Amino acid sequence: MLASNEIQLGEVIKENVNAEIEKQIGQSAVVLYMKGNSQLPQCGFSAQVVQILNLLKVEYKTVDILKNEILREEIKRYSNWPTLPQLFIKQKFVGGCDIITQMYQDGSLEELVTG
Amino acid sequence: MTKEEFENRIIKALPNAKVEAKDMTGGGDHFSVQVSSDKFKGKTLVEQHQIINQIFEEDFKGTLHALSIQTFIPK
Repeated sequence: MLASNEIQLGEVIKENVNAEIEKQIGQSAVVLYMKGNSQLPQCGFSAQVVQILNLLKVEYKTVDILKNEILREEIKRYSNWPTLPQLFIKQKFVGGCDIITQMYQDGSLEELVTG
Repeated sequence: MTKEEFENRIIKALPNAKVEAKDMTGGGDHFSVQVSSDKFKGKTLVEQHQIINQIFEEDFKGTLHALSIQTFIPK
């Protein structure tokens, strides 16, 4: 089942994957690529970032990379980052779980999403 | 990969770095690491983590599943 803030995936093929990613990260100021969705995260690191975004009461959308193998690999190349989850703010890659946790703790994440 | 192999890979790439790793599962597939290096100076967090991630680029395609990183710049 699709969570209400989950981005529905169009057809993703290797040739259009960059355009697809750019479309996805343009759908909201805050977009999280994760395993599962915000209602049912499928990995502890994804769950942790969801929890932080919920604590900040920020609006965000998610992409479930478990639903598409091409997207799952290509997002890593797009951001030059080897693991998931990955958070994009205002179309820019901000970090994975460790960085988001650190930025939440030092207040810079809130600044970035509200500023 | 053992914890020692893991730490040595980082030290080889970043001489003088202080490295403290933990094998989170005991299976060598999920490490947690703290790295302190002056190579991080002037770099964003993403760039600092990318330096570490790049060392293990090939491993991420195979046996390495997760890597938690904390970076520090020595005072």
